[in-house]
Amino acid sequence: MTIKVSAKSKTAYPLAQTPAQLLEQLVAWLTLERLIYALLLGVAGGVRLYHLGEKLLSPLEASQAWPAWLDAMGLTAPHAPVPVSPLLYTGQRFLFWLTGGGGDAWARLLPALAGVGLVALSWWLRPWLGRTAALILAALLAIDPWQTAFSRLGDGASLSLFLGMLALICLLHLLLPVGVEPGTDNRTWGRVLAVAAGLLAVSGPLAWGLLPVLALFSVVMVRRSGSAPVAGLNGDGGEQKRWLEAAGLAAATAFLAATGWLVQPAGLTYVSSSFTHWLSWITGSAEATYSLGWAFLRLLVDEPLALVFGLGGLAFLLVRLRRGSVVEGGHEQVRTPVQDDPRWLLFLLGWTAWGILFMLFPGRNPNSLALLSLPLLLTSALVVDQLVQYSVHRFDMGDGLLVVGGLGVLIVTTGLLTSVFSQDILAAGFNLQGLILYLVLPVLALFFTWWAGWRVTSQALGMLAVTLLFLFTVRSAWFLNMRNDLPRGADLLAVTTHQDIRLLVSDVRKLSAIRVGDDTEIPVQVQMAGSPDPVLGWNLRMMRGLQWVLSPQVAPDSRVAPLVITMLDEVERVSLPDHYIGSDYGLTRIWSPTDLQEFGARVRWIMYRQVKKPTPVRSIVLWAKEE
Amino acid sequence: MFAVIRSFIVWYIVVQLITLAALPLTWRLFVNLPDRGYVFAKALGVLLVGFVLWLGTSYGLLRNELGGAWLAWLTVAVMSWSIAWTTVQQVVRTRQLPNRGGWKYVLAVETLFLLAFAGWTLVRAHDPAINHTEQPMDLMFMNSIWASPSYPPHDAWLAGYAVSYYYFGYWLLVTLARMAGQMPEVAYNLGQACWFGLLFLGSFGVGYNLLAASAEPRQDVTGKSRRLVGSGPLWGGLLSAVSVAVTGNLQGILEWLYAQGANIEGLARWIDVRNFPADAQVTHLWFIDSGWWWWRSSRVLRDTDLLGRHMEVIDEFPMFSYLLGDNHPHVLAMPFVLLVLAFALNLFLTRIEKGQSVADKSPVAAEQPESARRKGTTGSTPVAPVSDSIPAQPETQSAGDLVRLAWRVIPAVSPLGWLGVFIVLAATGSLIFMNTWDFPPYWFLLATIVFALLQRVPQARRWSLELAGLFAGVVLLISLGIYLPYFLTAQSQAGGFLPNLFNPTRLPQFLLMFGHFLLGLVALLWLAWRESPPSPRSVAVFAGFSFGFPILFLAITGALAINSSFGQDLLKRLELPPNSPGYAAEILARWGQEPWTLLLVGGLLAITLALLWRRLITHPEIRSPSSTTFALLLGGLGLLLVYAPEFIYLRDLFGTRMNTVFKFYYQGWLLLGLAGSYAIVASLRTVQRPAMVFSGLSLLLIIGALIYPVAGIYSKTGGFNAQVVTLDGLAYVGPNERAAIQWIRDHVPPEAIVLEGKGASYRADFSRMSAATGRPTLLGWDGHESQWRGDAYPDMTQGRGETLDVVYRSGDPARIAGALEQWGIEYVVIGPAERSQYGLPPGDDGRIGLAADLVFDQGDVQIYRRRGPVATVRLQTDRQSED
Repeated sequence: MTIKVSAKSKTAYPLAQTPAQLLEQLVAWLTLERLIYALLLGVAGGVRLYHLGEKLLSPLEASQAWPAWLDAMGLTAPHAPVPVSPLLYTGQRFLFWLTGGGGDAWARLLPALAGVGLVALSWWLRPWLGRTAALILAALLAIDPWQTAFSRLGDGASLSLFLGMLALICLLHLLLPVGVEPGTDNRTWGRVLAVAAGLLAVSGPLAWGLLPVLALFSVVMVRRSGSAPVAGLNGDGGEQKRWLEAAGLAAATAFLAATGWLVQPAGLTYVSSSFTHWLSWITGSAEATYSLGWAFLRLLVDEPLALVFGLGGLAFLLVRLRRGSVVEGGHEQVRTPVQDDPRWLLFLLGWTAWGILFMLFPGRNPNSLALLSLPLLLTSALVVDQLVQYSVHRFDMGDGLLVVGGLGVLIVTTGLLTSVFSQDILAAGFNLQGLILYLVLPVLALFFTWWAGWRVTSQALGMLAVTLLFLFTVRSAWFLNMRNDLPRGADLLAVTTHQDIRLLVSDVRKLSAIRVGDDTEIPVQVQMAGSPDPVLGWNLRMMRGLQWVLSPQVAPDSRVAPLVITMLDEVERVSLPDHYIGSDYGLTRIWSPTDLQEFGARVRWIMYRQVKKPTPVRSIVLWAKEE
Repeated sequence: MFAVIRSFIVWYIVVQLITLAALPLTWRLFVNLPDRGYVFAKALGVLLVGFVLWLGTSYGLLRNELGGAWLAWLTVAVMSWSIAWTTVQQVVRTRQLPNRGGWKYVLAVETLFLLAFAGWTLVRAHDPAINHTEQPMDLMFMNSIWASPSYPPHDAWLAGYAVSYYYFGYWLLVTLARMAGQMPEVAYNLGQACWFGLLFLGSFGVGYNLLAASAEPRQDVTGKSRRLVGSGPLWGGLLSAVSVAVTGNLQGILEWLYAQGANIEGLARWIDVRNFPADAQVTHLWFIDSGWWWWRSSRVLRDTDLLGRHMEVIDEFPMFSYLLGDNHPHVLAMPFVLLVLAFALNLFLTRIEKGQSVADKSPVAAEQPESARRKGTTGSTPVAPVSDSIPAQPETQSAGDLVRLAWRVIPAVSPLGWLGVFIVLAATGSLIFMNTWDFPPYWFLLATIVFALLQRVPQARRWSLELAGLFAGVVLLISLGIYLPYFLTAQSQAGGFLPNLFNPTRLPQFLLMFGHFLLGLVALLWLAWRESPPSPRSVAVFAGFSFGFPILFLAITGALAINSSFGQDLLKRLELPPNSPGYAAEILARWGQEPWTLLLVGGLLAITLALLWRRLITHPEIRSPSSTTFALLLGGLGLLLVYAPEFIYLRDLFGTRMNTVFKFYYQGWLLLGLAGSYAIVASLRTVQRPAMVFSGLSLLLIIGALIYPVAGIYSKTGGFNAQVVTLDGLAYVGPNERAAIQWIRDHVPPEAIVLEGKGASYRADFSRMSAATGRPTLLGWDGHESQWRGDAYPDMTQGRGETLDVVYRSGDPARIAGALEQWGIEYVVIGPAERSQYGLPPGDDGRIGLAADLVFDQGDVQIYRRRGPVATVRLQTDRQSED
């Protein structure tokens, strides 16, 4: 068959490209920068998705996932917990329905993907941060311990962070466009902003903490500039219409997302639950399990790089703004809008202060860490970018490597000695060698300063600090997110699910298989403690004969004696027939590092995430009739 | 004390945040008031936040919890600030507030609120116990609302059913409690203090604005230009607030005189207040005595049956309510009644012509370009450019034309157009839901003001009656529509109207109640008469109407009652004395002896109506509406309200006029107090001697009646000598029961049934767990439930009493377990009340322990938990689906 193509159509519609042309275009498109971004996304995806379901869902996650599962399966439970992230609820419900039940990993999938998305968002920050700084930010976000931890957590925090950042980027494009002709149509960004804001509003409690950040950004960027830089923010009729359209789009998005495309109207009420939850973080009306020093300890231990360079970055911006443009070596330094515009400093300072304030509120929720880490990572990326720029253009690699190498060896040695010191702190007493080595480091640095000058020294030490703190950060990320085998003390959350629950589920299924021939059919009565425990609800969700009881009631003439699960502290209050025997299992563990009062124990935890004393465990008892 | 201060500060901050949210909207809504509604921002904010939360909860958009309440606040704040953004920008730019008096006025208002709120908090902190009269009922409603996660709130005293009472006032109180993080037993006291502050402020606001609006230069009939200047409106506002919120009736003076040993036996015998001076004592104490002497002030009216036996009539007034410490609907509604009055005044003061209005005098308005003012706007503030909105010669030939005309006129006269109309309707309609009795008078007032307003619009004058009627209909319909979720679950005990054939009010008792305000009202009538005297003919016509209607009504209904079978059934309840010639003779004898109240009030009403007729209809004040006319409207309405129970009352469970007098007199107090206070200040200003005499006497009596709050507060608080100063209304409860209450709150889901013994009305020690936790029990205060449920009550409670007997008396574990399962009862309480009621000695659990597990055991209180699955289906749903 021959297809005739007219001359007219040739000019109007170019012929399809050949594979070779496509490949050529792809190669041209695939710059080194894009490749690195792709690599970073791969890393981010890897650390977020790897063994995602290995750790048991915590009570917090189970309170979110279990109601979604019940809804997806068309089931109900009395007094089931109320989800606090309508958006995640909708997503989980859909995934559970799609997969016919899902599992722990499915419950965490959307937050994990949002975490990867957050890394990708750095790409759109390039006009303001600069290309290298944006890339560094992506790298930092990809391996950041807290960001990874929140991405691997089945609650709405990761979704809120992603959507909040997306909204911020949209606001940047609308309020502070760089390299865009005045009057350029930016409706797409407006629409994306509306959708992001709508989704953000229903994404969970952290969203309410991000709204002040977005408001601060808008106020700082619009008010201090005197007038809106983008046509349309001046309140003329047409623009009012656009704002109304955007508000409508945001409201419709929020409505549809919360109700799961109108499938679950009750989803709307979860918005007020999420607000209640957020307010409890501020007022401390929820059960506070975190002490005042907890967040700062975690900051120090998990995020040393963000802490040092984040705060340093703010100082750096301040200095940059005070000094004005710098001419070095006859060339004026290239300055990005972030470095050049005092509004950025004001905004980042405000955001950081808000994050710190959030940590100080009586609720002291882990989400405060997520709120604080973003501005710190942003400013860290700026400082690291400066160091990298300097290294590339001005650093004497020979001298620098020599010093960095020497100091590195000493530091590693000191670290090893410190670890020994921490292991035997009580037995060994004062460790003189370690102290001497710690003293040698500044002496060497001083010597290098005399030899090479303060500027080179500071740059070299800066690079060294970046490297070491980066390694520490990676190590913290590893402990926090990958070491599921640690017996205790590795989690961000104070209340975690005990590993015994796997054993409990396994035992229940075995008993069911033995007694009724099917591992999900045996009747199970689970006692409620005011309301059903979401961990038990989630993990026993496949048991078809599951019944929530106030107190167990076993009819003497029942064909199959039901299994009974009660709270350990209720054992004396329940009345069970004779011949029922019970074994206890851990249900949840409650612990945070500030529970460690001794200095040595705390150091040991910092170094190895080890805790020698047993942590408090809430237990349950599985009762089965002796046969 | 530290806890008291902390709770107070948190609550105060919440109120101020609510004020801040609503303030810009207030500026836009109250465009015709001299203070631009600043004084009403708190009440408007509280109403809107509670309304949004209630509506959101009703339609499943919000949850009844902390986040829901703050989201409602956020919604109101966003709406208010975006609507009035340009006004806010002007205020920021000019640094001047739009209200007259600027920051000084704001400071004065805030000081008054703070003093009233803090002062009453101090009183409540010395008298916090929720343990007498109907206080436990109020607490039960608050806890029911607190514990109900969604709409409608369940009735904790009748498990399985929703609250059937006008509960919106409680809702507002609980909304603030949630936002301030205070539990209901604390919010009960703190909220009451806050509401006292709102009442004080609202009364101040109406008085201030009336007087400040009259400060406009105006010529009276003598041609003299008058102007009220300086701090007059402030003092007038203060007098209004004191008259309405603080002062007592004149019985307080009698009580004090008697306590000091004054010889008033003869006077007291003539007035004949029940138990006075029989139960009073000569103590020579300035605070009279430490008993409940102040109670008698709420029972100065005395009705008797035909055998001369006492029939209770309640004549409460605000200070009595606050002294008693009940958070009843009529108390909770008062600040919002004043808000509706403010809307009415705002509407009344609308200037129809283009040009200047009161709002234009504001500094912000002065900043406006002339073109904006010419267009009828102050910034973004419309000044009712009605003439531009209505066709010059409206062709109104059919009902459709009338509706079209109304469609153009009504939003044109309302600030903020239809949104303003909606807010006014929401506020007015809320009175049905807050205290239904309050709705009709203010609905009527609004319609009258719309009528008066349209009388001043040349294009609409011809159709003003029809348009006002249409407006009244729309208000009613939309109010019903807005609050539909409430009406779907409410039940009423009202059963029509009955004539008051046998109990005309004795004039001395009536004057004891309202004498001080009536003197002020007489001064007002004098002033108004001097300004614009009505024709003798109109006075005669209205006298005929105001005397003729009740007499005719009583004659016809009396005849019907005596001659119809239905009437005879009703009359049978009133036993005739021996040798009585019959009911007709009794009626004539009683009215022949005591016609004076009818004659006095009817006469005053006739003069008021004649004055209003002239001012509103025959000689409408087209250019500048007069504050005196509005005060006449208030006075007229007040007179109507105290006049109506002379000859008619609502038939309810009690079968007497007790509630009608109570509710109508309460509003009469407010309206006559406001009108009288206005008259006092206005007549002192005009230096018209007769008016000044009446005003002076009125003022003297008001000041004298202040002995009531001063001595009453000292007596009720035991001289401020409380052992523990706290706002916790349950602090008096014993430690065992208190621990049980806390255990239930911590461990029992909000809607789980927690069984207690059957309640008994006015017994604070019964149904305590349900009242204090909001967890429903099978049967609480049955007397009150039967009032709320009306005829449906017997069916609704069928089998409940028997079930209680089975659980607490039978001692049969199998029957107990069956009863618990059948009714979905999850927990059973055995406390002191149950032990005394069902004869369970200490240590005896009535064998409930064999049917349920003991989960709480402290002292003489035990709580048992049912065995078996959780009740997933609510009781009522079960029963209905079976049917």
